[in-house]
Amino acid sequence: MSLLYPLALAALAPLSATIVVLYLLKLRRQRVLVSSVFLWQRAVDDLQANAPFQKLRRNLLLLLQLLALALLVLGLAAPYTLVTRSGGRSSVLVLDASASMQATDVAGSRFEQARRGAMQFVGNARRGDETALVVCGARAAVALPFTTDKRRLQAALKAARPSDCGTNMKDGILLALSLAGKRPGARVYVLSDGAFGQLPAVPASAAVQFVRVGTRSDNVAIVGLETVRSKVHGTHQVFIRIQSFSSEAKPALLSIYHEKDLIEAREITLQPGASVAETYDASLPRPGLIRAELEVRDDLSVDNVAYTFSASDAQTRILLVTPGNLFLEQALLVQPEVEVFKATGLTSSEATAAYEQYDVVVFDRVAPPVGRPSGAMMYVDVDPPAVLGTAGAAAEQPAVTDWDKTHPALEHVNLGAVQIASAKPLSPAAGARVLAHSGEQGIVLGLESPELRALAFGWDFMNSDLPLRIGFPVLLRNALQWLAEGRGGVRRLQVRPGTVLRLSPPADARRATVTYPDGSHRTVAVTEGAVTLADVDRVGEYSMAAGGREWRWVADLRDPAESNLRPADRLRLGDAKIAQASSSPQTEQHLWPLLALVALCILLGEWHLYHRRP
Amino acid sequence: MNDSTHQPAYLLEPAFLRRLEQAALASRRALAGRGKGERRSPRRGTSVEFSDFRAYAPGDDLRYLDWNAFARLRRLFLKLFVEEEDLQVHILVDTSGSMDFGNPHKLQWARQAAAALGYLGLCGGDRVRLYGYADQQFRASRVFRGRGTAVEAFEWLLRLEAGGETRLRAGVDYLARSLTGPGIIFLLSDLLTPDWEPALGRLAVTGGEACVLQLMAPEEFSPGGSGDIEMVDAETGETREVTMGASVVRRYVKERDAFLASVRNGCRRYGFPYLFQETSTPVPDAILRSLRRVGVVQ
Repeated sequence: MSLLYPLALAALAPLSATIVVLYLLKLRRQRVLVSSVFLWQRAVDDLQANAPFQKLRRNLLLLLQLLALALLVLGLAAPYTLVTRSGGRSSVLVLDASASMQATDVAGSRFEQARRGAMQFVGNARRGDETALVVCGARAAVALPFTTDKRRLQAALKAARPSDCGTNMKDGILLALSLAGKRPGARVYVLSDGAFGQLPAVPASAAVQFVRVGTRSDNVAIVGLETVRSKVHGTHQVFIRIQSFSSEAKPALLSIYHEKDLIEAREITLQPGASVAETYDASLPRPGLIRAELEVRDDLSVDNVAYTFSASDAQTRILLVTPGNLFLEQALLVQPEVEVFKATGLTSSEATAAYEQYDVVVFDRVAPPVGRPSGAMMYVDVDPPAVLGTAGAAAEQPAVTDWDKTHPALEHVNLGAVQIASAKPLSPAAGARVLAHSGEQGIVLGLESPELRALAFGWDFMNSDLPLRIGFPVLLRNALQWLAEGRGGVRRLQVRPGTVLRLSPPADARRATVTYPDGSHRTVAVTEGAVTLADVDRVGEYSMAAGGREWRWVADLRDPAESNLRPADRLRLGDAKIAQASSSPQTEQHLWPLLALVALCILLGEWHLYHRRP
Repeated sequence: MNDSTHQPAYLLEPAFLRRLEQAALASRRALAGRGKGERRSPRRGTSVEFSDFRAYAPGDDLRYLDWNAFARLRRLFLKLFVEEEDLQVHILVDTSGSMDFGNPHKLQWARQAAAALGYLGLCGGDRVRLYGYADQQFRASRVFRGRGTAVEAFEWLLRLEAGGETRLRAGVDYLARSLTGPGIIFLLSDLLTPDWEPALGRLAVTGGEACVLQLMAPEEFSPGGSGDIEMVDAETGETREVTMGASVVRRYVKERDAFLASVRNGCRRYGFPYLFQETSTPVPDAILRSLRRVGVVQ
């Protein structure tokens, strides 16, 4: 039993003192004149024989009054016990469905235990209690809004599955609080192991209870996997970082695969809490997928595997044709998985070879040779080929008035604030379109056709403040990605589980077929030239085929916060509010009505006793 | 309570007075009186009723010599006749604070009873003296004789006021000392005092015949009420804290009965006629019926 307002107990002393003083003063008796107390004296003296009992009875009355007072004061202190039952009218259950909840340190798994607790909570709910369910993996989602229907709640709980993702508990808490905010007195129960980062500050009035699952941290995880290609030797080096979150030494077998072939297997022993780095020099016969797997007896298996594509395989080869542009060169060099080649000019024959050899060719202030381009091209401050459009006379200080924010090349880039000294207006050819306007004129053109993807910028980057802006590398990355996608071939991606993937199949593709790690297939529609995949929440290899092109991506956990299975003792909400861990969703059962009832009974008894006195 | 509110314009109803005239006080034995009265006296006297003979002694009244006996026996005998004398009636009224109580009022009831007894005496040609006592005050009236003094006697009674502590023993003592001869002593009191017993003992040795008339107001006889009260003694101001309730009343009734029984036994021991009356009993009933039953009135 705990007290909500323990300070109220301080009132007991002065109040009891008051009762005792009043009792000592006694009530003033009514004075009655009698002829003589002669006979009364003897009758009352007879009573004196019972005096000890009388005294006791008087004391009993005082004791009963003090007892009733003590009960009432205790009631004011709001005592409560914790019961596994919905206490308020409304409750929001936030069920952690992250990777760490798959840990098997408790019967079934942590997720199963949390789900059992939630089931019990729902089962014990009283008539009229409403409950909402928020399932929180990489994204938080309302699985079921407020309902009083126990069967729907139980069905929603049964349908919930743990994912291989990290925990976005911040969103989960905010979502739950926004749900709870609509119901006064609603409570939020976070059923989790506490394996997540900083949580947002919540209003002090918010009732958040942390229901902890999990008992120990006995886990080993691959937290890092990279391949580097030696440019000198052409060999690959594989770096693997393995961390132990266990309190005991763990023997493990590390296996490295290239596609399906085992290329290395090592016995390693991990000391408690140790982090070890393993390197492996491999001469790979061809580019491909590197998979590191750890065979170890631990509580969580989803973090025992990691993937990466061999370094060269992911490179985008870029030919930059320029008289010299420091900004552009540097911005391209910092792009990941990009290999930059430079030229000052190209002849027609060189250009034809280059179109085949490089993924993207960038013409910066160097006019492209005559001839039909193919592949992926980017033109900066040059007359674009006829297939793309034509340039007009230069205009002074044009302002970018509008641009296509949804185009993959211009996503997340603010062109509106860019200052340009002078630019040539661009008119699009048939099939091309204006991606950015300066007034009525085009200033950026884009073309997407089966043979060619091209972008044309109407101004010299050096003549504007664009290279100094934060959007410049973003613009280049978007542009290169979009252009390189046009080249076809297998696109390779490495993502975290729970990432929302947005892939752009060729323009004529209407459907795409996605293959999942478990081998299942799903056909998705291509809408507005893109496929959006929100179900990449398992660790493993995925692929998608659309319009004759293929995408291949891998998802692995590599999240030390998830792999560290040590259950948290408390939930820190912002800086101030802390929710202590409890083992099941409990609510405070207030005891004051019971105390008030007992006090009333005692007072009634006292009253009865008082009036039975002789 | 002010006893003036209990004083009627006249003390006794005329009808009651007329009924009293047909009754008389009965003395169980002959008592020596003072003047000539209507009662037999132990003394030999001059009435027509012969009593005895005795031998002549020099100095005797020659008028009472039995000359017929002398002629026959040649000896001198003196004829003795029964003396018919009046009776002294002493009526002692308790005027202590405890008498100023009750409904009907105890003192008023005692006044009326004293008046009725006195009237009985006056009608019988007896000498009647009235006494009131309380505390240190002891008041005595003059001796009334003859029916004509009844009004004066009644007025004297009406002047009695209640107040002070009961000192029964002292009152009886004072009465005994002021007695000039034996007579009937009526004691009208509630006897609510611890010294009632010595007082009765003193009464027994006055040489007269005593009759005890004990009164109690109905409220005293059967008290009621409930709750916490503080009783204040009307005489002494003494207080007693009592929580009234059925059991306390039960205990009181037990005490009361024991008290009344001990008074009755005391009177029986001394040979006093004893009568207990609640003041709710009308005075005529008490005098003409109850006192007649104990043989005081005939």
